[in-house]
Amino acid sequence: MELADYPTELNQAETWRDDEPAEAYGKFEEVLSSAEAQGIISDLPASVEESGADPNQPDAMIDYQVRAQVISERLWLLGYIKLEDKDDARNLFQDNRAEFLAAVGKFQLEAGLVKDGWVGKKTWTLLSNLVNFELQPMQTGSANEESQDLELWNAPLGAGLNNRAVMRAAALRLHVLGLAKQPPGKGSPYRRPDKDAVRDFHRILWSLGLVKQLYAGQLTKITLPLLMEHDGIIKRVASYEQGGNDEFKLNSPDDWPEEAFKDKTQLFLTRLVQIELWLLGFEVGMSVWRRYSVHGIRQRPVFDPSDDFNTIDSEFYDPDEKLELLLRDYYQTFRGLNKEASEASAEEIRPSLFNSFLNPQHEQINHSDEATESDAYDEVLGNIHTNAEAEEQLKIGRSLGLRIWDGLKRIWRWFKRKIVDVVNFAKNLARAFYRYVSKGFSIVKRAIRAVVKSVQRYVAGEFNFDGVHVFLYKDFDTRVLVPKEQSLSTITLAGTRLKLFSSRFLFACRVIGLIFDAFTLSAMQRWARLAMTLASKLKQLIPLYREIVDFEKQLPADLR
Amino acid sequence: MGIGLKKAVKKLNDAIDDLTSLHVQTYSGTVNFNNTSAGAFDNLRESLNPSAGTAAATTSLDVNLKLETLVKFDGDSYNFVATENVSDELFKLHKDALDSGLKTRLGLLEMVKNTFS
Repeated sequence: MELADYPTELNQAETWRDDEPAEAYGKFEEVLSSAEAQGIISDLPASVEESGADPNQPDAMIDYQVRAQVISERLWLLGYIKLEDKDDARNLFQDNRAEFLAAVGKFQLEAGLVKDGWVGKKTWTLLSNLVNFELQPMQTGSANEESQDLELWNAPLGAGLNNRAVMRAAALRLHVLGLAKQPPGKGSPYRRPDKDAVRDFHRILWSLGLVKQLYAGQLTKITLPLLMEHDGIIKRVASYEQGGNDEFKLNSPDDWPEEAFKDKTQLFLTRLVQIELWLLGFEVGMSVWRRYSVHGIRQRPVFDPSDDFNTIDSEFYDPDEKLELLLRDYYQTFRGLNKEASEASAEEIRPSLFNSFLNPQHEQINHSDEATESDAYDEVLGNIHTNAEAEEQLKIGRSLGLRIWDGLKRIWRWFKRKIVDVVNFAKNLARAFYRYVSKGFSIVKRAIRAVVKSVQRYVAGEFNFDGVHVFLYKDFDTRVLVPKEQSLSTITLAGTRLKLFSSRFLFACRVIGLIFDAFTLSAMQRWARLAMTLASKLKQLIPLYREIVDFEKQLPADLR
Repeated sequence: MGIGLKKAVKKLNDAIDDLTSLHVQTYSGTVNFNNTSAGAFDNLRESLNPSAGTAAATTSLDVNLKLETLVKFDGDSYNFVATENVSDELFKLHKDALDSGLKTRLGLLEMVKNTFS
């Protein structure tokens, strides 16, 4: 993916300071729009109401093309898109808009969302939580919407058990964990997760002692959250390492042949390790089905070049020994072990490995205090200095697909323990940089929206707070009219709301002014100029953003 | 994105001649709308505007100026407080309106300080 198309004016932004303000800000907004359209930066799409767009129009959601690829991929993984090939599915937004919208609509219908074909914040977040391994907080479309409990696999409710979208996600998860051969199905009619796969999942949970009861072949409100919340299952497996015990000891269900039982459990634990490594940034082939040695359960076959390859069950066999190499790298880079110790530790999967995922420890690092978010930010920005470096990171970020949205909490978990190398590992720098740029953009966009709405109100020249009138005239001179018999509480509330409104305006203006100044003063060129401006000012933007959100929450809906 | 920053800044530009002073007046009294047409509030707005001349026919006012502040940012300022019937709440509302006007000005200046000459 090249980043060739950029507005010519991007490179001459310093000349905007001689323009009329409206012209200068118009150019600035065009650059932001253009960057979003090309996926240089990305923000959660607004709701239909906020955007005022019609999803069926060809140019609707045009700003979200890169995000649309991720949406398509997620829908494809859940079986909402018929295409066989993942790359074809990723391009569905451009190639066949009607089919893309139909898939979104079907997902929304099955998920219990409003079926409008528009991927707004609710749809995006739910789709993300159903496919990603790390959960995102549910976000609503606009500030005046109450947060909704969409955690459909939430245990006490168990509502997800009757939700088709959640059941598709459960089927996908069973597939990823090596328990179901087939994913949910490319556009095939909905069906519940494979009963045998669910039964095997239940058996593994029981045999590992992760649940007390051996459940049957349907997911329950106890086992659904365990399947869907990856961190939860890792925690349970990690808890195995207690009192110096670092091997798996299994209870074998009576109705399960020992070999089959060991086989499935071995694969299940192997998959959990692969997923964790993938989230940390390792290049793990997620389609690999081979089992790894698990201490206390079973060893993998030993590679012998003289063996006739055809006689070996290739699913057991890892001729490249890839996972072993990845684990060695993990122990050396992330745990700080020397070569010999890394090789020894990488021979088998043990409960302590899962514990290390949750409680990062490094041999060479003093963990007595923790790194801060500010340290992480400085580490990321400290590694990117030039146009070429910034653009390279943007390019990598755009090419990461699903991974750009998953695993960042883990990176932070490691960084927090002062294992700073995690930032520079593999493509993690691009993931973090892209996220900072997008976050900065999201704040600027919100500030622009707040300013535009405030100006509309100011220009209208009147506020009516339950009968207390505030009129604005030229130059914002103000006249307040309070009816004689007005209640004292209404008078007080009117003043508070007026102050909140202008405070939001002030902080939103501050955000825009800050970014505009930094942007027009930047010596960088091309997209690097915008990306670095947004990322490098993020520290100053965040407290301003919190003020805007806080004021906005307190304002009545018609003033937001 | 295109959510109208250019248009908003242009509107602001049109609404502003001079930001070197801020004038806030707070009135209390009775307003009678002679009709409830959509333009009634506009008339009320104009009725309170001394430069607009006589009150519009659709509104009759019986209001008194209770508080007035004129802040000139070159240092000069002026305050007026009526001698009676100024409750703490009314006083606070006036202060809030003043505070709001200052914040609006500050916001404008911070946003466009490097483009407004």
